Amino acid sequence: MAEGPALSPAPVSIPDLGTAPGRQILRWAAFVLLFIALDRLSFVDDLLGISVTPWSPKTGLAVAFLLIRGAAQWPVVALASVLADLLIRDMPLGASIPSAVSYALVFALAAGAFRRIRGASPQLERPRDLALFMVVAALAVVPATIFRIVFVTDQLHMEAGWFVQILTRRVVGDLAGIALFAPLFVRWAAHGWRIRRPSRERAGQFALAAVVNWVVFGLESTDELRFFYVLFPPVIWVALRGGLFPTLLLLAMTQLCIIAATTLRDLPELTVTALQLLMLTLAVTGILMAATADMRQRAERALRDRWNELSRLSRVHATSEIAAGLAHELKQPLAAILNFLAAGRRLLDQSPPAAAEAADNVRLAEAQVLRADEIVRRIRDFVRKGEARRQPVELARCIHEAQALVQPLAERHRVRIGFDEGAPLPRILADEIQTLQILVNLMSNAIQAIAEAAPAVRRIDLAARVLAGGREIELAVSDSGPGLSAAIVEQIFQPFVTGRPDGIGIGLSISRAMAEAQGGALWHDPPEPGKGATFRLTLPIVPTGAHDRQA
Amino acid sequence: MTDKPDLWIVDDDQAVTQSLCALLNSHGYRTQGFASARAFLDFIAPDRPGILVSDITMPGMSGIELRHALLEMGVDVPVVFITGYADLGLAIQALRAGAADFIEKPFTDAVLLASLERVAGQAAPAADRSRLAGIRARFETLTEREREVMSLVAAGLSTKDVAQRLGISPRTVDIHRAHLAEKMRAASLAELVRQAVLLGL
Repeated sequence: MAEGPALSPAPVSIPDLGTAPGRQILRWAAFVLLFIALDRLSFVDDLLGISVTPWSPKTGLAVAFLLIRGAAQWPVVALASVLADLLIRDMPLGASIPSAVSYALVFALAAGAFRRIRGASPQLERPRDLALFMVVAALAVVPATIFRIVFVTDQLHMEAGWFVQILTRRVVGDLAGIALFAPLFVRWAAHGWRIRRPSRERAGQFALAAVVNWVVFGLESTDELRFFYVLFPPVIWVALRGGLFPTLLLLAMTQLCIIAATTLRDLPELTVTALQLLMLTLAVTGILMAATADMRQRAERALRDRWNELSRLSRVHATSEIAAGLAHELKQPLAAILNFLAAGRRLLDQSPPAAAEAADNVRLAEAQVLRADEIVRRIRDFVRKGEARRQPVELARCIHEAQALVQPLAERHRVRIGFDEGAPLPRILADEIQTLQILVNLMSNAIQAIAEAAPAVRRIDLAARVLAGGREIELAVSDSGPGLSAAIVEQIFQPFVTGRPDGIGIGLSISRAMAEAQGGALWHDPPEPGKGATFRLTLPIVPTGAHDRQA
Repeated sequence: MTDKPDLWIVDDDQAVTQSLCALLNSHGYRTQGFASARAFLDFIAPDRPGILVSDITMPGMSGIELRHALLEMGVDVPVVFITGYADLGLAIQALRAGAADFIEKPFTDAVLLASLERVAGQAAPAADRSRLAGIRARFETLTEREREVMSLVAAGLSTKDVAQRLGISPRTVDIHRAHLAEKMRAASLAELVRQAVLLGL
């Protein structure tokens, strides 16, 4: 890209079609053609060679082009403008060339200035960027229009009132065009036209907007100016719920309705200008609101990603606590496999070879390979990445998996884990991995508490009961350890509080947050001297109706 | 066949017991498997010749507790411990409890067979004495620093702890460890610990 260093200080991170000269020329040609097409499309009214259109999407395109490709590409904009004047308005080159050059230069300066603002991103997605961009655009539109009027008309014959009227209409039209179309074209360059199938809500929003537009602009009986405010609710709705892109589309639709109304219904001059001003207000309100909503959504998504990552890291940490046990667990089948294979080899080496017995040993080895694989699967499932998703989960299976994960650690410290299932357990509505994580945390904490205190009885008891109302199940994890000390009991669920020298103290705080995220709770019974700790976890049961449907 | 001792295998993991029996049977040993230390104690009687191959970490009675219980009963069978925990502390405990050998799971048959043969041969005290003399002779060739490192490592200290104790860098400790293991002809850490135990370090 041939960019002037002075005007475009920073490269924009927008997918490049390629740097080959052929691509470059293709891109220029596409821009020029689109510019001319948009000019023709919006060419409604011509006053002394000044197309006093109620909107100007071509200026939006030109500004987006200069913003993305760099201000140094202003000659392409000038060329497009000259060609458009020639083809559409049959304007002599003597008038159109100075007009086009001034037009291109002013907007190139504006684009370059915008990109020099510290922290301003040409992606035009954040509210601050959009607001700054609109201010810069407004500052540029006035001189650009004055140059246009000066070069194209015989200004000597122009009255002051006339001048101001043309200036106002043209400025408002260009500004509306820039505010609306520049962000659209920037988005196009960055992401292409990816319009997803609209959700039911989005379809409803646009249907409502269409009705409102028809009431305001279609009906003779309603006054366009007095009823314009009715257009705000649908735009605000879309802005808050849908974000920037749908809002821009809706505003473009409204803009089209205004143009249709002004051309078909032949509205008076002053009404058109007033409508354009209202449209500009609507656009600025909608765009800034949508960008703010987008920003909030992005922040929420980032927060959710962090949370997922944190909970995964905490799982990895939990795994490292039970890792020694898991490694041991894995060594058992590996040792057995080696032994069976060595026995098989030995039996085959005999003369005559004891083939049948050797085959038995190979079969036994195979079974141990599957056993090892199951252990690896269990660990991998536990630490895998993924979005938390609540869905019906077999609680019994979850408890079984958690128990299997901590079993080696329990065996190492000779802790017995008892689980009296009693009645068949219901299905819970929860994220399986997170539930697993909570259970593993509680049990491995209990095992380590027992291991440190070394009491005579070494056991953990799990008990489940459905709470009154049948909507929740409570799981109690009790251990025969020393119980919680009074010093730590108040803050056990706070992050980075731990009773263990090697603990990092996030297990319980994350467990509680995860329990609450699933609509459940996690707490512990008040400590009693001489008794171990009891933690209680509640989780929502899948409603019976949903249960039937799912089955 | 008759010159081979009987082998008793104690492991709470059924697959391990079964596979060890299969392997050792194929090498002509007579074997018997037990699922727990308790089951073995019920079976064993004094004066039965044989070698015990036992897991250490088991629910209920551990392998080391089993060894002590046997001694109390007056049963002095040689014990080869096998364990999945690569834990130096455990190795030292086992060797101090008088283990004949300490093998880490998983192991190849060659390692186990060599160990069993050596243990079977060790029954003759003279062989043991000459072996100790060899270890003493090799220990004499160590430098002062290497001896310090060896006794600390054998006491169960990690490289980092040894480094801290001696005020040298962990890398240096590793270098000393490699040198002294070579001089002592100890193929494994367990072997080194056993030598240290024999030397009374």
